Amino acid sequence: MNNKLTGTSAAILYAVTAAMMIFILAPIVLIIATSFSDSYFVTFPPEGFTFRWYGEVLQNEEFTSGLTFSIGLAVATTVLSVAMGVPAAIALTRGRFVGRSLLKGLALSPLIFPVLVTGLALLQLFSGYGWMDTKLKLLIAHTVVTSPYVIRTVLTSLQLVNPNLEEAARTLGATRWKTFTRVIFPQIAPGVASGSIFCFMVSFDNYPVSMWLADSANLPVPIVLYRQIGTVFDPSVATMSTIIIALAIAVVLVLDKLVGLRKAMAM
Amino acid sequence: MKSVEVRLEKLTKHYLGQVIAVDNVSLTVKAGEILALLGPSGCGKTTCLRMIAGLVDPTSGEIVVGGKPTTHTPVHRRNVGMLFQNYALFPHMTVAENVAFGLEMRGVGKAAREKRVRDALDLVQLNTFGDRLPAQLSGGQQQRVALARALVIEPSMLLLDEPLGALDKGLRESMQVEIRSLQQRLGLTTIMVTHDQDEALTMADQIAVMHQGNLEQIAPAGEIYRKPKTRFVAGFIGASNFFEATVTARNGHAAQLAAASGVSLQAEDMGSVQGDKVIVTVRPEAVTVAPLVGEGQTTGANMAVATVEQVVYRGFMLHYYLRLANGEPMVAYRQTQTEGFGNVVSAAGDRVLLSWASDANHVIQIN
Ligand SMILES: Nc1ncnc2c1ncn2[C@@H]1O[C@H](COP(=O)(O)OP(=O)(O)OP(=O)(O)O)[C@@H](O)[C@H]1O
Ligand SMILES: [Mg+2]
Repeated sequence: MNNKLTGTSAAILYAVTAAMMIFILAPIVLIIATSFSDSYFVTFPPEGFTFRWYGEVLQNEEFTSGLTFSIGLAVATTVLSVAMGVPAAIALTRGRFVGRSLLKGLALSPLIFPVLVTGLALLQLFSGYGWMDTKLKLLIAHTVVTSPYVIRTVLTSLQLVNPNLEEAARTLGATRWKTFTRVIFPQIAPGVASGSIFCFMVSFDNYPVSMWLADSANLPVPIVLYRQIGTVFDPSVATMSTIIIALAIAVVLVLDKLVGLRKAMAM
Repeated sequence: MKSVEVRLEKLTKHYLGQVIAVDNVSLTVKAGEILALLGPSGCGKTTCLRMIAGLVDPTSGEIVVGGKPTTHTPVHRRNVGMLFQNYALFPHMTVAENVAFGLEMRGVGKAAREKRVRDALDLVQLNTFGDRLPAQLSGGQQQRVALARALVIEPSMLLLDEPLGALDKGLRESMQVEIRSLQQRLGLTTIMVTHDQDEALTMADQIAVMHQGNLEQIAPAGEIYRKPKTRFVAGFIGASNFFEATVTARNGHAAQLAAASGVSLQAEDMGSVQGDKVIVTVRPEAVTVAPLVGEGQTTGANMAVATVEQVVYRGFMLHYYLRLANGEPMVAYRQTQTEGFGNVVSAAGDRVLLSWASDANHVIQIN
């Protein structure tokens, strides 16, 4: 069978695809263009070309500390999510306990809980734990939001691992731990990697949860950005956004180099 | 490699909320022998094997290996070599790394490991394949790697779960011979699971036939074919003609019987069969087919008049599908060129005279 589209239907399909791409990418391109705009206001189309805003933004103490704070928070969140998500996914695929298939179904279903509500709920919960550090609260809250991403990607790749591999390793003399590190983990590494990227991204640009829990000493960068817009609306906001986009792309590229992400996504 | 005896004592497995998968199975595999667990799908063969490997916990019963109870030894300390139907090679490791895995887990040093891996790959004739990944091998080669990986740890027994099921017929037969000769050379106690009776007859010293979780019979390959203990075994291993019969006279070991179909039978050896109601089985290849001389031809013991329903040409064998006067079916296998019809094959509708020797009658007790 020939699945190639021809004639009118092909033309329509290409047009729709192109429109879709423009729709998705245009705002981002606009932001990037604006970040080099040589004007004091956000204008369209951007005027001139300058690196001035980059110099300014990188001097901006509030922004740089927000950025480092968010990177730190995202890394910690990712590590914690992986540390909890991988064992959880293993338990959901291999374990035998009541309610397993229900939990598994929940973990695999689209993530339905509104994050805003989760944030509010956590704020209420934490109000009873006044001694707790804001950083810790943010870490826990972000992990609550991001760990399902790890569980899902790891669960999906675990389901593709032949259970006989595990048994073969065991009969060959491997303990459970050795079986995990030498046989299971290499099989699910791409899933862990793609889960980690989701985690990092979701935490890094999270606003609705951080908004409830952050304080002036602990400001993630999305909140810094929002405040910035509230005070001045000059191209520096676009510059900050561009830096964030660049960082995001860098993280993806690094992980791709490390574990071959494209392979993982294609699974 | 020192061989060990493997003994199962009243081994039983109930899966949660399931029927009984393995029911009170006791058997002994002598040191250095191959036992084939044979039976239809779902009869509990795999469950039995996995209990021996330690991958499934028995509900009750004992597994004794070399005189030592091992029922509660964890898998990784049982030192068993196991082959899976889907090979189960580690896809991210090379052939050599796969084979080295078990040695690494045992803390064998690098130099010794490399030598033993080389020897093991020699054994399965794959010495030039060490650097390949499993995905770059054919099915037969993958299973040979799996065999090398299982043998290199010098296991106390080899467990095979339909290891050749995924291979085509020709390759399967050559692998059967290869595994069999390796096993004999190493004197390795082996338990294999199969639902292919030819595979069991080719490879095994002893065959254990299972049916719905029960052990029906365990006996050497030839004996289980000639002297099936139950109707199920007689029907499962090879084909059989069955007669429901009543003993009319006993004379020492011998007896005269009358079959419900009107055929009279003369059995030479009743064995230990008690009672008057029995089943007599006759293998199709023991039945001679001859043209009927006249319709009134008298028939003696172990003879019957039948109508040919169909003749199937199977290379050097002809399969006759026949029907007795009372409507009961019979089957006879004859070599293509033998007595009776000579080169002329009888056709459907022909009336024929069937006969067989009295020692072809095998009597089975009805429980
Ligand atoms: N993990 C399990 N949980 C519940 N029931 C099981 C499990 N494994 C097997 N069974 C059941 O136990 C019985 C025996 O299964 P087993 O796999 O031992 O059969 P088998 O003889 O190997 O069959 P086959 O030739 O199809 O492989 C079957 O009825 C099967 O459904
Ligand atoms: Mg099976």
